[in-house]
Amino acid sequence: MNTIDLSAKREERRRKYEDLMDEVLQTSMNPIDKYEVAAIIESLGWNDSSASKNFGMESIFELAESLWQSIQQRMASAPYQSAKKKSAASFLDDVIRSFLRGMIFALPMAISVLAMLTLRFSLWSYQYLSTDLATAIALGTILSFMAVGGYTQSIARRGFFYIRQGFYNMSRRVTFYFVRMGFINFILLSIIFILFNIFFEQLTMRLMAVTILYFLFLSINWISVTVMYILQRELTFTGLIAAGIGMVFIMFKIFNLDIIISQIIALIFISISGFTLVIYFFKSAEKKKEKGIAPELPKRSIMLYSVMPYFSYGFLYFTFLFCDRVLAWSTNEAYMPYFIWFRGAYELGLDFALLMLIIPMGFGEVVVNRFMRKLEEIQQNDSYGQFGSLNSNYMKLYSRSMIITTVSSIISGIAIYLIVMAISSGSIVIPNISLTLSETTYFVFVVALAAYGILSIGLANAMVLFSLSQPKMVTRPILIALLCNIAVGFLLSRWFHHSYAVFGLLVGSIVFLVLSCRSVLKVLSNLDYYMYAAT
Amino acid sequence: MYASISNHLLNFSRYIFAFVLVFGIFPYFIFAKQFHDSFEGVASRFIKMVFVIIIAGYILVITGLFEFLGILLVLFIIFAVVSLKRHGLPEVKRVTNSFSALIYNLADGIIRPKDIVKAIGGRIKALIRKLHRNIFNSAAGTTNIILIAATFVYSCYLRLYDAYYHAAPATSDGVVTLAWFKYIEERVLFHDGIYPQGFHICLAVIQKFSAADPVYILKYSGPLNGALIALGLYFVLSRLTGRKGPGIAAAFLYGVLGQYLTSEWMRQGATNSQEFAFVFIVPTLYFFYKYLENVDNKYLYTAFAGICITGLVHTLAFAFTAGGVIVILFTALIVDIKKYYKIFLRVLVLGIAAGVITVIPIGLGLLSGIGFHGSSADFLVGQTMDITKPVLKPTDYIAVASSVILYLYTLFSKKKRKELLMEKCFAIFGGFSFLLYYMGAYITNSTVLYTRTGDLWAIVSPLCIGMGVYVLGQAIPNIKAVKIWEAALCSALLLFTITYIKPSPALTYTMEYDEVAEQYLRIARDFRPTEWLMVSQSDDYALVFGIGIHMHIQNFLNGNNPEDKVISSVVDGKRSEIKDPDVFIFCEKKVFTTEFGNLQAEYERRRQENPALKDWIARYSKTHDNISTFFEDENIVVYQIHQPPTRDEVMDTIW
Repeated sequence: MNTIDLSAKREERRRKYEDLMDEVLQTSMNPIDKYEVAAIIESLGWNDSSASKNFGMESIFELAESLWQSIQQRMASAPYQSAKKKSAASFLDDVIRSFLRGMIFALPMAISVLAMLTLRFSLWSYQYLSTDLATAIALGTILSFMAVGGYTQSIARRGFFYIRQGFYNMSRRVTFYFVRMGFINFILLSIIFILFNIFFEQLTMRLMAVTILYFLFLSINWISVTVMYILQRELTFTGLIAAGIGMVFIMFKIFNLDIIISQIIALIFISISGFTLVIYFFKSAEKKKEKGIAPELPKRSIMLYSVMPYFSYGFLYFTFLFCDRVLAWSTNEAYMPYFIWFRGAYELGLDFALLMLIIPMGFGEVVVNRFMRKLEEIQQNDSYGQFGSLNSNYMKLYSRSMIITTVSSIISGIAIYLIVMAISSGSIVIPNISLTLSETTYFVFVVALAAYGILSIGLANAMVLFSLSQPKMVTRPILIALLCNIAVGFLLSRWFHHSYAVFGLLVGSIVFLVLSCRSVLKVLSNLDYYMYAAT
Repeated sequence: MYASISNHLLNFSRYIFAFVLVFGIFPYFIFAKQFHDSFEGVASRFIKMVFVIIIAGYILVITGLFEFLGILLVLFIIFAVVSLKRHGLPEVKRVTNSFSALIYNLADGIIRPKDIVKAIGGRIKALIRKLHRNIFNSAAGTTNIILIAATFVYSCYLRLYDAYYHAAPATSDGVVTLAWFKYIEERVLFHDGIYPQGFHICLAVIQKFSAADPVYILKYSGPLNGALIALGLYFVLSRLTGRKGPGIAAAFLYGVLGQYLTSEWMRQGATNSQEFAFVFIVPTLYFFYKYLENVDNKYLYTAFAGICITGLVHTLAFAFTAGGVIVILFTALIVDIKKYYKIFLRVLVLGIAAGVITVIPIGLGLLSGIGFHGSSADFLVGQTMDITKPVLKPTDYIAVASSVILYLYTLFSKKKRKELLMEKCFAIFGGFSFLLYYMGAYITNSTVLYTRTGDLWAIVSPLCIGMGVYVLGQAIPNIKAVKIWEAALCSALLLFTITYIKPSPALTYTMEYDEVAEQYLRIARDFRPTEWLMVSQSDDYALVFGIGIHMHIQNFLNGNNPEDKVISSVVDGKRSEIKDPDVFIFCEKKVFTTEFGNLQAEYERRRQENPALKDWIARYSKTHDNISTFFEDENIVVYQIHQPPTRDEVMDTIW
């Protein structure tokens, strides 16, 4: 009986050992030394006590030493095997999936724009709002994007990191940690805004309330959208947005409620239901997919340190996207009731131009996926001594990727331009949709098309750098681009016309593209070093 | 309600917030900490910041970038450049890293939020202990602090009294000052001709950061300038003499008993660039003297900034400060020509530079084809015949006597000649100022000297008297006893003043009813800017400019038929519909009159205009239902015509 028990235990230990070795190899195909193995198993939640309990090792380093030896033996004894080449159908399937996943992120935006064009309202906008209400809502919306940007990036990075490894419990804990932090931040910002406004009386109490309510609930929504995105529930949040618009329609059109009240109720509804769904999705995923040990999360300081560049990027990116609006709307021309004043013509131009991002976003996802897959192939097929010679291949791959992204941006830009112009000129008649482009709208639309097109290529660069765990090489370019955006937009909008703020966006996008390209080239020219750093 | 505690508490808090932020907190981060004496450091940073703000203001107005964001960006750029230059990139990184470390420690619970609160509390406690140790260390020290605080508060009270009760801009200059700083906000330089705009730039900057209505900025600034002059006297004398007593005496004399000096007391309740420039005269001379004493550039640069400010704000103040510098410099040369010869050359170069800086805006104005501001230029070069010497007041005699005593002290003191430089400099400067006051206009027949040297002497005479107090104290060998006696005497003087003299507040005259300004403030608060029109007399243009739209009654009545469906106006022969959603028509029941200036013809015109306006209102009321009485009292009645825009008009403004 004892012998059988011992044998079973030994077998169980061996199986665990093999599993652990597989996990290590999943994280790093070619660990450099035993210390890297130690670091990996530590990151998987192992410590001295669990090493001793499970394998009778004295410390985690002894376990790492043992695993390192086993990995060396396995690699030495394993026959050389090239990574399997994917079939054309499988490759196409991958491309389409990636493309749709990239595009689907823009689906809520597309639904909102469509609702605006057909119903004249969406979840947070309404064509016939008074300008002061439009200003208040725009302010709330911009603040929400800026406040939430850092948290969405952190959640996407850290939460997704654990999900990819199958640690849903860890992912949930880390996601909700950032969600909690985000909520505290939103509430603090709201309090500061309220106190500021009470003291300086910049907005009337009604407008202040509208700004705060839209800010809070939109922020909550963006966070729930992010969580659903990492859980790959893009269609759910698209459905939620559509349901929200539907609610607004029922309350506003059928029950004749005030549009603001209707939108706020709808926002509250989708905020609550969004988070309920997020909790449900996490719980069910945990039940189905949780595997292995449930390790403790790393120390919060380490976690924060690791996501800080992503957090900074998120904040800077959204600030970059919106700062030209703020500069245009704060230009003090003849008619300027508040320090910031919604200018519909400018907004409309940007909104139409923003549509051109949908297709390049899809291509961006494809490009990055292909890029990373290629990286995996190299890891599987080549030893680390050959990295240097492969850098030129990566340069070629990168160039190809950039060409694809650029072409897709150009095509997308031209397509959007033609569609908008055709609708506005009446060449294409879509029931319920009519567009009249003012001079300002047309001007902003054209410049913003170019700006977003260039930005989309820069964003593809950013994705490549993020995939190689080089966030700081993105943060610096976006910071410089933001400063250029502010400087150019501020000067031109004050010297010529408020619509010239869009040149800030254009110049900022060019700067971002140039600097991000430089960063990518720097990484590719020394890829072995950066890949080592990334692991 | 305008004259209510809540209204002034809110607006005064905004004013103080902006003032402290711009002239206290920003300079704290921008300028290096160079002075051991914290009061000296605050004064130096304040002077340098005012200089920076004026220069930045001029540049931003000329480039069309003067606005809140523009100012903020300039300050940020200055801060970034200065920080990098002063500390270098590693130090900047260290600071950001330590901030990140704080966040990480907070996340890990190594530091808890309450620890931070505790640490801040600890720092405040330590600061209080330090203050207690250094200032409240004796009965005399505590008394001195209470005395200077009471003097400052009392000075503010006497000057702000008028601003508290009267909303209308004080004096005829008030309206001009208001208009000029609003022109700066609208990025228009020298609208009415060339005149130094330094003060107006500072007012515009305070307005931008406080977000208070410009009327409040105007009402508070002038009174606070007077109080700051008093505080400056305390600062300079307490540092020069090393004793608080002389400083308190001088500040008290100017701040509280100012009406017994030679200045026009009413000006203390009004807001003029002259008083703002005067704030910098005595501190500039102090920093310049300190430079002579220590040959340390930090003093020279502050003095340089100070003299530039006076030049950029008020020509007379500039000339007087320059005169003071020359007097002090020559006194120093006489004392020790070898030591001060090189300094003299350096000061000469910087003096020329200050002159150039002062002249640049004027030059730019002239190049743009703008002439000098007519009445100011006339006033500056004007001559008045039959000028008599001023009748001296008791305070003048005491001041002159103090200067003489101070000079005699330098002759008979046991101290070495070089150790008495301060006493000599300020004794001669006192004499120079008195002669300028007493003989300047008499000799030159200059109108400006005739009317304004009294204001200058009103600042210097307390300085001289303070020096006299200092010399008297020097006669007593026991310093501790001197300090006690000074504190006791100053306390007695304060109590005596409050109980028996009871100085009256600085009351001003206005050019219109207070109700007009009060109703303007009400409209500006309750109605969206640029969406209302105020129809009233021409004096109100400055009030409304930049916030709403103003139309003169004459233009409004001209060709505007009350029976028409829409109201319109004819300006320069062109008829245009008045589309502002709210039109406020101000009618005087009884024409407001003041004895200032020769305005009889204007008043007569108004007397004829008012019945026509009343008739227009009566006829309009019969044919329209959108007119109501917005306000009415015994002096004025304000009618409101409400004509909301149509849906399409609103849409046109949005899309």
